[in-house]
Amino acid sequence: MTTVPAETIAAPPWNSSLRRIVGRSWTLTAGVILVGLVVGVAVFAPYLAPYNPIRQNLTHLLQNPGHAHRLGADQFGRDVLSRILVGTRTDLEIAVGATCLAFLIGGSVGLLSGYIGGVFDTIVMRIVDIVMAFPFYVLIITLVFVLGSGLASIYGALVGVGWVSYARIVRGETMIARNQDYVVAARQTGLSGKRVLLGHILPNVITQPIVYAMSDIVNVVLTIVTLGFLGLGVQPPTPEWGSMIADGSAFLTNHWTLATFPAIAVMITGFGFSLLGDGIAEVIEGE
Amino acid sequence: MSAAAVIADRPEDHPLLDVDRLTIAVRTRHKHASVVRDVSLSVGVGEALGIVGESGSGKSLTLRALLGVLPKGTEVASGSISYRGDMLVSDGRQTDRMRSLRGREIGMVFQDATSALDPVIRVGDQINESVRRHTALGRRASNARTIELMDRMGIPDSRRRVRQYPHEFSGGMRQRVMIAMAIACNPSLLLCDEPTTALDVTTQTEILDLLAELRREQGLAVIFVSHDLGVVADVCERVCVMYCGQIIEAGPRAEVFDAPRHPYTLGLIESAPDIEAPSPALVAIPGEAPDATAPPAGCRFNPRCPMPLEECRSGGFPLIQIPGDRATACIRHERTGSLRHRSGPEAESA
Amino acid sequence: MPEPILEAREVTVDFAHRGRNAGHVRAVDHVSFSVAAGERLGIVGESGSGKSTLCKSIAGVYKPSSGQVLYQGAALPAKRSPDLRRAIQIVFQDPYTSLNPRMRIGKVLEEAVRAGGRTGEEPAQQVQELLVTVGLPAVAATVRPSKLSGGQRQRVAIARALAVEPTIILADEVTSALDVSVQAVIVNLLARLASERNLTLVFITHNLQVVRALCNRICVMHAGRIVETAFTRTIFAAPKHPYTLALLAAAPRLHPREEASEMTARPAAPPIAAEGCAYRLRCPLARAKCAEEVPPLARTGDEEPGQRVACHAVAEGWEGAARSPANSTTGES
Repeated sequence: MTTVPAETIAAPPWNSSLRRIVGRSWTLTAGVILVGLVVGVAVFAPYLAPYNPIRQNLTHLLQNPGHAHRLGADQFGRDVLSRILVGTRTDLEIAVGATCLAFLIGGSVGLLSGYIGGVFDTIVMRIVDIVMAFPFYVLIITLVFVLGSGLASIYGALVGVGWVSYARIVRGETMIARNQDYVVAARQTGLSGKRVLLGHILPNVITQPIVYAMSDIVNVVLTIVTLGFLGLGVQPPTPEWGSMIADGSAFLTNHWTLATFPAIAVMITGFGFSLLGDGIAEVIEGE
Repeated sequence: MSAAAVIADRPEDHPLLDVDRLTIAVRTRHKHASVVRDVSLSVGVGEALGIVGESGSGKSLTLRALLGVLPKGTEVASGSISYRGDMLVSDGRQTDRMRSLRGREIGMVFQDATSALDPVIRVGDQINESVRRHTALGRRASNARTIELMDRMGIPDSRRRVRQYPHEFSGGMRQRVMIAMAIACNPSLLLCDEPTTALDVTTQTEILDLLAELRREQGLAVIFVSHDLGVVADVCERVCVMYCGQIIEAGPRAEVFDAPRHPYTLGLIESAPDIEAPSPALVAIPGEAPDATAPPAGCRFNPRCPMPLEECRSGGFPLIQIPGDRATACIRHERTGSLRHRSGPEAESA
Repeated sequence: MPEPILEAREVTVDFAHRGRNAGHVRAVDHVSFSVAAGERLGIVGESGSGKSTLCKSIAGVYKPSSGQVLYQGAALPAKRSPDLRRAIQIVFQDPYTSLNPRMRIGKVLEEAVRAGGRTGEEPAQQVQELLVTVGLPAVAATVRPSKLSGGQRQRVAIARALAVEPTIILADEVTSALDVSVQAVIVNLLARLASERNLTLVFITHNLQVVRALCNRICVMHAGRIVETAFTRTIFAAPKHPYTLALLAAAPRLHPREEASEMTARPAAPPIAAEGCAYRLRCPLARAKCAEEVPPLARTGDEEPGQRVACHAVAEGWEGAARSPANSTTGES
């Protein structure tokens, strides 16, 4: 019988994939570096911050960037650099947390909806349509008001609105995967619907929402910052970029650095995640 | 090889299309290797040449190179292509002549009409575009020509169908549309890349008959690429067989198929016997086709050959001219006939 | 007479068609046939003949709109138990979508082996045995499908089908997406496995040459109906239905007959007829009766044993209809 010689199949060497992936896309590499930087700052913020971010120093009010305060001090004498560094924790934690929750909830709903179909799918999709029909910030702000102040309500608002995109993406991909031959073959092997859904469909539908999540984090960061700017977000004295920008905007004429530096931090973070998302998409498409 | 058969008794000075030692290379960030090497062929006026091979043989790339439409990442590395004596590709570089000839003197019919036709443009408009780009006809005249072409292609109810979209046509009819677009300006040479592979066998017959009729009427020369020997037998008088980026046998079609002079050609014939073959058994060629960018040393077929010699494992194997206006790359070609499987029910080869 | 292992009785599959032309598309139209254990049946048809839909209905992927599928004499319920599902395995046409792109081959086969519930040897061992059976090297278990060629993937698909120890294998156009020389390998592999393991094989294809090499009996399908069924030898020596004759005449030949080149090109074939015999708009023998009545698949007394034809012209002996081997037009005697 004609046997296939072993040489015609290239087995993957154990460490080639990582190097191949990183080398393949400059975007991905840049994204990984930037995001890594931001995450590093968030993790080590207490050690990196030269001052206590919430400690007020009434002798150093509104200092311009200089020797004592590298990026200046705000209207309460708090060190801007320290507040930005510690603020990274706040913003990143909420952004990543809310995105993950939205991803999990939305993804699960989408998976079930796409696989089961029927009435369940119709109901879910109508809910998704209704949520998507509302202007984004109207819904977010309303939810924050309704849920009261505090961290939990921010999470609640972000997840309550964010899950629908994931549901839609995953549902679409699931409906495609459901009809693929390999899924039919898996069913034909006698596997239960649950095994097929989790073992075969899930791994094949998860790439799109992950790529989406990367760019979604950017939006969530901006939403948190906006909420903070509007005074609805994280409450003082916890340092948070949005409220820093809001406070600093009162001093734009003389001390423009107070609002600008936190804004730059937002920009770097957003840019990093954007690159990461694009990089992942590039690598996946390249496969 | 550059012998050209001619129609009737009129010898021409140049063959219609002459390809000399064409080499096509793949050039990406990770790879740089030749996928088609030293291919030489020619087509005379009104002649039909078949290029037979399987996937990875380089036959489609060769055809695309003739038209200057190689995919991104591949390019002509060396060799020349000339049309009626005019250089289209010289020393690996495309000349300006290529652009003016493409579509007007040389037409192309692709395999998959579904992806070659724009799904959001009406069929009539697509044919029209082809007509107007290559002729000087005004709008009214080109509309008339489009309808005339569709009638000629056997598309029923052409006046109504001219306004329809590709998805409203069946596969066979879409292919007729493609042929209409390709011959809109009376080219002298038609390049066909597996035009009937995606079609049902009964539809395929219609398309092949249509091609034959066009050839008779317009003296159209054809280069027909296919993996289906039977289809090539229907259309072509001459054939060349490609394997792993090279031509390994060439000659008049009837003789090559009747008495092949290369073990691969024989292997192809025996793995897909036609309806009238005495034994229906399918004989497989052992092993797998190698990657053209990393071919085995020596004769590229030698790892799968039933009669390899020590000499076959190294060196080059250019085409050898043999009597009957044929050529083969196999140094043991006379022994090919003896390799035939005579037994019936034994289906598998070693 | 042992009872057939697989039987289809008046199986009909309709698909609801929403949108502008709402209605039903009938993909399979009252198809009946039976297969004996260990037999190799070929179902031949062109695109739109309904052969793939029929295949999936037999396997239980689609539920027939009417009619029954019987396995070992018992009608198969709409929702089948895992054991029943395993008994009938499909090998699909497209080797690029029939394997999970994210799963390594070894895992695919292991999952199938475990699902089969076989105890005894280690699953890993069984996976290696399966690879050997289909002629793949051990390293194939460590890679993802993207690293394999079309022919290699088909071998994996066959191995997966074998892993659950089925009784019947339905091969749905398994060679259509493969190179010519690779087709021979896969067909020969299936033939060998079928005889070694006493499997029943239903081979669906449009390729007459392949079916001639592999199958002992053939059903010819057109527009959702079976129009002729006979032993392979008979189909090639004494075909009766005009569509079968057309298929045989259209099959490309390595040495074409000279007179074929004189034929003028026909216009594009007319569509499938909606009432009566679906083939009548293309049939040279069609008469008024063909538009009124669907011809039944029946013996008419004049044919070879086991041959049945669905054609009024043949049944009633109209002029021009194929009557006996001496009148057949395939050129073979």
